[in-house]
Amino acid sequence: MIRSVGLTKKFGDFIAVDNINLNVNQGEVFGFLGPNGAGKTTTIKMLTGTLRPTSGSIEILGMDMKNRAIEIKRRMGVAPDEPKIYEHLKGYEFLEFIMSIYKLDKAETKVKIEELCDAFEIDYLDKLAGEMSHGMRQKLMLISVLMRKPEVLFLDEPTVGLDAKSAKILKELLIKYAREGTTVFMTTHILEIAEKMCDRVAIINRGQIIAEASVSDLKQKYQASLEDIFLALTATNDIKDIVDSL
Amino acid sequence: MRELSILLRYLGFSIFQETNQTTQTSSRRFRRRDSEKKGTRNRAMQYITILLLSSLPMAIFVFYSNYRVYVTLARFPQVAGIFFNTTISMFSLFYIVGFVGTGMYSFSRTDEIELLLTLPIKTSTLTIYSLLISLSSQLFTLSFFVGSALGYMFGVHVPALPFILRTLLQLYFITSLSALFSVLGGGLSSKSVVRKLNVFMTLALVFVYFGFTYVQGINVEELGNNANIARWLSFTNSKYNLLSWAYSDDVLFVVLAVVLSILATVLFWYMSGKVAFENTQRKYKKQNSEVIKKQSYASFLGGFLWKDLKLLVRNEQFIFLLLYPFIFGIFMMFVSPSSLSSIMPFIVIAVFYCAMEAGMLTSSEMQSKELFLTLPVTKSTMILPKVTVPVLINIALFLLVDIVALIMNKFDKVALIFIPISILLFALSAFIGAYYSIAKPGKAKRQPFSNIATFIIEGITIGLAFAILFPITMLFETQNLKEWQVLTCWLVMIGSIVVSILLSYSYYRKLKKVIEME
Repeated sequence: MIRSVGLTKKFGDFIAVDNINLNVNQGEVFGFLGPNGAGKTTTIKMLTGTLRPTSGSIEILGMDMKNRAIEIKRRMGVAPDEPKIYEHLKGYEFLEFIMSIYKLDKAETKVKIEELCDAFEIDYLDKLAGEMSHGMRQKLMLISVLMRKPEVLFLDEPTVGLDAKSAKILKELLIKYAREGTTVFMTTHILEIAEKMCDRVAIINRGQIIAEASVSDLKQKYQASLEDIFLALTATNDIKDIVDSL
Repeated sequence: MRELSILLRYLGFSIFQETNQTTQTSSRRFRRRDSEKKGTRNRAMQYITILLLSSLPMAIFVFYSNYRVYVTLARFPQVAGIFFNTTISMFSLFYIVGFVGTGMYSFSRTDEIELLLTLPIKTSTLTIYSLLISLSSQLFTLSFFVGSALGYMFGVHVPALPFILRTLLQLYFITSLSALFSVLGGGLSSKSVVRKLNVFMTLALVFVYFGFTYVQGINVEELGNNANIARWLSFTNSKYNLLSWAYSDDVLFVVLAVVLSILATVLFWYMSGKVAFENTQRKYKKQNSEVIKKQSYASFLGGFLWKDLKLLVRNEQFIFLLLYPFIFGIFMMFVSPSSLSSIMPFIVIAVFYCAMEAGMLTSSEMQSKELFLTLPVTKSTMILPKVTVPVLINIALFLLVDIVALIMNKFDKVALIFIPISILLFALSAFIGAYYSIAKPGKAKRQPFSNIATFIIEGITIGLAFAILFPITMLFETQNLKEWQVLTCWLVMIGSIVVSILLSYSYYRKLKKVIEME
């Protein structure tokens, strides 16, 4: 479903992503973890076709991203960490725009939108995006992706800015979608989410994948919680010293 | 005072803070130089200087046209006085309404205010800071006010010192009243109200300017004898018109203006510490089912075209960009014998505005480029409406001006030649506008291009429009042209058309290249 071979991204001399190989299967919830600046967003941008890799190849749904980007984009959904929505469009107008780009069935999608709005407690569809808070825009962006139930879902920090109830609904919905065959690739800083939701996780640090396995396998291998494993692998285990020195 | 000066120095005006997303990628090579300068830059002073410089040409225009009116009216001081009272009352009213509208909005809760409220800064300082920002947007109205007052002073030869003192009192009077009204209505205004208000004020000012031009054409003797216009305007001379008290011959009203100004200042000072910076405006909230039920043309027009039309119509500057060239064209039709003389200024203005519209649309897309890059569309599908929408709108306006000319029996068949030429010029403008909004974006969110790019665009679009249209007008409207003049006209016109075609192609290529790089 999602496959990358030797994926690399350089910004001048700086190597943001270094020779990453990924393989995510259909119906899997894959967690991509890493500290700030580790290369998570750069990787997700390359996988979604919004950033050209310096080298390496990407295959989504068995299609090469380089040659069949439009076809891939039609069948996948992306919710970036920063929901950039045209600020002079109203909430519902944005959804209509997405509907017409993906040529979705209007009547069917409208029903889906109403259901999702009820679930996420969205009552601001008549409001301009420029007047919405980050959380409101985040929910709207999620709805624009979830309403068409894509085959592959890329979510960059999807729970940031969401209230507890919406975050819980999103988590349950993603698991449900995965069970129905959707492949979910998500980044998160909240290790608890990764632990509860993901079938497999990969930890990236300084552009390289330093661990990749199911959460249970990792726990068994290191005999520690995911948080401790993460901190140990990303060389941030001197937290006590840091706190003491402050 | 120290806090205020820090706020102005480091935060300056929000227009400078809203850094365009595209600047981050396209201006990377300038980043180091910018950051080196940042520490020493006084944003407020920079912004005010730009505003003053951009208002200066209008102030000079207004001064000159008023001066000519008042030199003519100097023989009838009473009529001149009435005319002056009317204009100054109108400008004062525009100033107050505009200032109060933006002032009230500046007291609503924005991200910037949210941050500033967490800092140890006095509320009164934040109030004054917000009002100073609002005041800066009134410089355009102020340029009309000052230009008109100076035109009267020099035209009618009134004693300079008392007149300047009265003008300063008037400015203080209307500013203190506006500040007080703004504080009293704090948070009541909305962004869209302010937007509409600004467009209305600007158009009103343009009409007043046309009014001056019209008065210049009036037979002075007739004006002196009949003075119909003066009689019509004499209501502004009423002693109860507080907007002309500062210029009243009755000392009592001058004193009243002083007292009211001081009272307004004291009250404003008292109230400035009590501003809550909260949005007090409440809007009726529609149910989801009600919103979803609405029918739209999104799928009929195609997502991007529909969306771009919506974004353009909702842009703060769009109504002005649309109406100004149109109204100017219609006005010129009233004062000129044929549609040729009115279509030429229309196209000259519209070509630049067409570039602005294309730039605004492209820049808005670039701000959300992370979104469109994930959509299953090619970059050409995305950029096409940015070019076609402004071109089609301006061609429609061009045809509307022609229709008005037909109705007024002033349509000249030669104007038909302008149709292909205007299409070429609008297309060139749209390519240039879209290109520079990506290659040289403005620093402010509302500014599609950098200042240098604006000069380049103005130079190319307006320059070529003149170079093509002026020779045509000369050839068809001027009698007995010499042979060398005819030849020069043809050479300049054909040369400019060729240059326009070559530039259109060149900017189309450049635009394609810059989009691919994004």
